[in-house]
Amino acid sequence: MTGVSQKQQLKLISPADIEPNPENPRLIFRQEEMESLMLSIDRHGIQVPLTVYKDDDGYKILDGERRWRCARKLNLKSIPVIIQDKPTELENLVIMYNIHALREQWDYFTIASKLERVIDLYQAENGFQPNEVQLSELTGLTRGAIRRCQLLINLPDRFKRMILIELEKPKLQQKFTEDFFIEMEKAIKTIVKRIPSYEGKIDEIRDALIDKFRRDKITAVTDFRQLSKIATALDNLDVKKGETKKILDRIFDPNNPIGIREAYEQSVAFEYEERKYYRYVDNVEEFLSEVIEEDRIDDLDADLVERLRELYSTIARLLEQ
Amino acid sequence: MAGISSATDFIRSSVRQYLVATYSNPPIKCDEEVDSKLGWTPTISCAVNNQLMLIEASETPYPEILRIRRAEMVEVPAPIAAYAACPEEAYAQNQKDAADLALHGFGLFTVDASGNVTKKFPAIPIAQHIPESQFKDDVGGLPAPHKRRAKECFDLYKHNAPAGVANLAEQVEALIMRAAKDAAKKGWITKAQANGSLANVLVSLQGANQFNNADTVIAAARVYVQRYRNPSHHVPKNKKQAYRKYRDCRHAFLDGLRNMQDFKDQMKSLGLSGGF
Repeated sequence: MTGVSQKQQLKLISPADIEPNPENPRLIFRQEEMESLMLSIDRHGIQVPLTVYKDDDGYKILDGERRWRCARKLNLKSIPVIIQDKPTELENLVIMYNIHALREQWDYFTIASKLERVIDLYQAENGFQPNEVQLSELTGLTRGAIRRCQLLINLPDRFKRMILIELEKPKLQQKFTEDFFIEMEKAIKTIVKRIPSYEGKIDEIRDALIDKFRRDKITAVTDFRQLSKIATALDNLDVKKGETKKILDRIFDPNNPIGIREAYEQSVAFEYEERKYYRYVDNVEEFLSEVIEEDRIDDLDADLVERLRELYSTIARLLEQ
Repeated sequence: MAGISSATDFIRSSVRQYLVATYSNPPIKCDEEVDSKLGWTPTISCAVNNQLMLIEASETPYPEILRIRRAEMVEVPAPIAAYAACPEEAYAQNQKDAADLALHGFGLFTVDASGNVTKKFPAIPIAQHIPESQFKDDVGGLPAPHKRRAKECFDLYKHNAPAGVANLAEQVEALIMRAAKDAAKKGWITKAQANGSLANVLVSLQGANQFNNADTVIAAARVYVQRYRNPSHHVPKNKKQAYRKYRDCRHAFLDGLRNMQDFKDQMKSLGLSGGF
């Protein structure tokens, strides 16, 4: 792929002659960070010129949409820009990723929305789809970020529209965030991997979970991690597939009011807790064996010995039953 | 054109619809320069009731741009009434900011998740804004009944400045009429003179020897009442006149408080009640 021409010109132009780049993957601009940039520009002016290219009807931004928005808000008459040659569509997108993605945290949906286009253009140019590593090198995004984006890219369009509508709302009014969908999709993927019979019902499952989240039956996006744990209990715990499916069916039933937390508590919470204490018991046992082997019983703290006696008595009570 | 934050697009379109519905489709501009000297491009500008309503859509009740451009707004020769428009939830969570916004003379719209807009409190043109602290300072020397009436006028002023000034002028008029009644009781002027029109009462008071030392105060009260009793009825012909009218309201209100104070003091020193 060719780089951007080095022919550059520094100029002062009116913000009114500049337009945002339609390919900018960054769709969301948060007020708090924008205001602190605006105050800095108000006090010190624009210290770093924007990068633009000349298009048919004015200039388009390659780098500096936030500065440009602030300049418009402050009614600045002119701003410094570096004018570059017009890039190709793929160059344009890749430049944007590399300029922005490394600099600040983006919303995943904004990245995902243009990542699909990068993949298509790369395929058209090279004859094959870029793999995760190539995509990471091309865009400067981590492989983890690309995987999260893929979860959003694979969503049906109606859910993508839902995310975009939410993202356009002020942060306090957002409910179905991209985090919600990323967590939900991860959980659904985990479940389908273990119980393939859900494969054909994914959209119904999504609708049911969205509905329960809307009605606060699911109270936090992190609840989806417990949903994954219900499914992975098939591998990790001694839980039967039929029992897991039964509890998942209840969660996926829109008419059943049960939430994820409740279902988790009722099904595998105790087993997971048990597994955690299994490790603790192993650790305690290992430590005490070492103390005996190394003949350091007298070195033990008196308080610890007292606690061990109490523990011994509790264990005896438990085992006698 | 995009606002400073992408989340404000929803607020802008909701407020825009509200303005169209509430003020019968007034001329509305979005993200356009209002005055070349004003370093702020408001999200919405809308000319309503001889005022220029400038609205900044924001995720918070008190956007920074209003804080940093307040002084410049006063310099613009137009009756600017500035508002913030923020989500209902942000208003509920930032009451301190909302209170500061009102204290500094700005108004506030809130928008709920369904796009319903509520005007939480109105703004008056920034050129006529009198800070609460200044008002309190200026009424500090007045007795309780005077203070109470001044406060009522100030509350009205904060929503409708010309009406607040007119109301205050009426209070000054009431002080004059009471002084005339007090003077009639003392036999300094006749009862008939005390019951005359305001203009005639003032002439009678100035004609009475006992009021010789109060000549300046009576003359000042006379000019004040004449000038400001009906300012809300004088419709400005253009933006500049409107700006002057609103800017004058500020002077008028503060001048009214001083007239009240001076007139009351002088009447008391003459042995009259100095009340209403």
